[in-house]
Amino acid sequence: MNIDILLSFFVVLISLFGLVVSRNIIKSIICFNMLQASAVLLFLNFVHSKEAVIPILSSIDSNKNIVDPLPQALMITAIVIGAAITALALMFSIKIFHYYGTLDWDELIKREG
Amino acid sequence: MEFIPVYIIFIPIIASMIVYLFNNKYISYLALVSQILITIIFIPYFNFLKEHGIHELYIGGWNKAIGIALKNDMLSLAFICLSIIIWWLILIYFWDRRKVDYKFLFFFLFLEGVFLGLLQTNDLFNFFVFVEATTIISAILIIYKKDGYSIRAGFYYLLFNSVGMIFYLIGLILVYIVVGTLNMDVISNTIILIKDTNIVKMAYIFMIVAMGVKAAFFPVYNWLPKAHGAAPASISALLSGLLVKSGLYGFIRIGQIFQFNYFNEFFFLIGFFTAFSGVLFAISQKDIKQILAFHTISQIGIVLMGLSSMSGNLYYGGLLHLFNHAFFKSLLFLGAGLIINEYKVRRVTEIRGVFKNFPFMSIYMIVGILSITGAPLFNGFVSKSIIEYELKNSFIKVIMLNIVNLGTIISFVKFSQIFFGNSDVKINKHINRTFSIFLLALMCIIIGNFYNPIASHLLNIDLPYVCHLDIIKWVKYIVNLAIGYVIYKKVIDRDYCLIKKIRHTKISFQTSNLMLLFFIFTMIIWSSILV
Amino acid sequence: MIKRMFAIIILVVIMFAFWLAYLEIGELKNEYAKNYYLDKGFEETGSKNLVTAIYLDYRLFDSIFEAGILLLAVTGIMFMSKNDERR
Repeated sequence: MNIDILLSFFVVLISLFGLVVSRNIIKSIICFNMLQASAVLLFLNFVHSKEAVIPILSSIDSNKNIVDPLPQALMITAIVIGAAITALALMFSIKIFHYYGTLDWDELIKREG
Repeated sequence: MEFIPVYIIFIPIIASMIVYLFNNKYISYLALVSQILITIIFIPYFNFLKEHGIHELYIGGWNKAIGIALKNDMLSLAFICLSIIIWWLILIYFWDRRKVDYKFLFFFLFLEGVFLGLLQTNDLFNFFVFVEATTIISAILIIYKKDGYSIRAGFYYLLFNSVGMIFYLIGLILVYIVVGTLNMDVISNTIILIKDTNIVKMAYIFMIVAMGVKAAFFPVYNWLPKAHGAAPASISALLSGLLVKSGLYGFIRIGQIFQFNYFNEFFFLIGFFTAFSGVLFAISQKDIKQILAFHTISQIGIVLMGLSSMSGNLYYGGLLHLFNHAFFKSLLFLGAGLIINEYKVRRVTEIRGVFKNFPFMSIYMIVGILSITGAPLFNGFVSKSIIEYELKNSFIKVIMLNIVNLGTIISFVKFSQIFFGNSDVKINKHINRTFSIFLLALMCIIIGNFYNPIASHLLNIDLPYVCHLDIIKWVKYIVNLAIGYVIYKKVIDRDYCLIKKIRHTKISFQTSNLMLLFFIFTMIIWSSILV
Repeated sequence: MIKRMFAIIILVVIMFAFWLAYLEIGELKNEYAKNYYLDKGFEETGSKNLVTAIYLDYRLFDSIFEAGILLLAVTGIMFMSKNDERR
């Protein structure tokens, strides 16, 4: 019974609140990146417990209590995907600034033309 | 024969990489070669699957619950058929204007490989990887023209869909904790025992919301009009025809795993609101591509009204409408792209005389318009009448369906004013574009008339109650057309203030995220009240 | 201001629903995959590091497409940052 699971989900909800409230494009991208990172944290906390050891077989004893290795492998992929999307989104925001001259969501609606 | 699912994923990807490496005009014919190869490989596989029913392939030979599996059944087979056909036609469409540096072909063929992988996978995390790859490629293809409007639309699309897919990840870990595996078949067998617990309900809600973002359901569809209106014409046809269906495909698969039956009414209501708001916005728009993009939303609403009951003839009606919609929406988008290319303006009120300039293409577009409004003898009629027949027990639902049909007719009366009149724009003829539009119109007519063998061949159902020569249906269609024309002339053409306000409604990114949270909130309230 | 109030109410409800789900984790935990990796991970793949065994052996198909996503992101950024001088 981990209290860390609830705290990680709380960080997810804070990122969602940030996405609803932020007025700058860069803040939205930062909130999105935080959402990805806290989803990774949530994944890893679900299978963690204090008396478990890392899933590396240093000797041939198989009676130890190990942490589940599957979410860790999945999260390697998810971190890479999150980084790729953040890089692409930052490139798009550079181009938006180049064309419109502003980085504010409300200003962009006014200047759409 | 056994490894064909893997071949049809990797052949387009490798061809795309070779085309990108050698920037040569003759190497780019490799795209045609790879497409022909896929078609040749797929045909014996189709016959093989018809005998056996289900084909599973464990990649690497590992245990079923531990490794990744690819599974093909009749549903995914029909989708693969549809996607290969549509990719062929769009390849023919832009073949003479292959962009000089061949990057367009690279992204296009890669998207085909990834999409064919998405349709066959049987593993939840693999599905996530494929959906994210589809999102990234679509975002890059939307901004291909690099003007300001496209970049804004593509950015909004990328960010919003990625936020939606993170909810899928959260649902995934909740499922994994209680089941212990990630294979879709094993999960659906194991989860029957623990279906009433809160964890499984929360997992279902999160995953369905993610699929709802991808498939443009009612509160979260705001990315679709901007993205489909800003993309180049062939990409708009591809997005509207196929990539928005990947969300519906995920919705069907997740519904088959979890099998919660008390959400059926909820999805019927969501489908109705989607369809209604789609036509409401479509009536007020003036840009050709925006009208068609809002129509995609409303047709998806009709499909969702059909798919909400997960079995029976209503489900098959929704599925058939999904396939029909791919054909006629691609037809209309490709035609609109041709028109915009020659006329250089996008507003419906300024384009005139299409019938005199492009006689053949106008006929094909009129075929498309008749299909989408549900005229008899075309394929829209078949699927709409199946849905209407199955709902005949409940009077309110029939009224809802008829309102949506009427709205569709009104907006296409508005769309068809481009055919009349004269215009003095010099045009060039493109044989290949007209040819691909002709093939799409042919498919519409064929499916409309030969629905019985197709339905019994692919889906094993028979439809005795759909009749093209029923006088009542003809009369009803003509009456609908007349009412639509009258309403259009009196109300819409004057362009009242209310319509102007609807046209200029812009929902910002923050409000869309709020709508996403509201969607989750509504599903939580619905599931806790009704159980 | 109204947007923030709505958002906070909805987030509180979602947190409450998640807390209700969290209370049931203890009795419903299923460890089939973990026991499989512990028993047979080493003899089937030959690697002592179980995370690597999963990432590069049992789930190689995911890793190929993750590399593909990196390729796409890099190509997309290269394509976008090129300035068209012809305009």
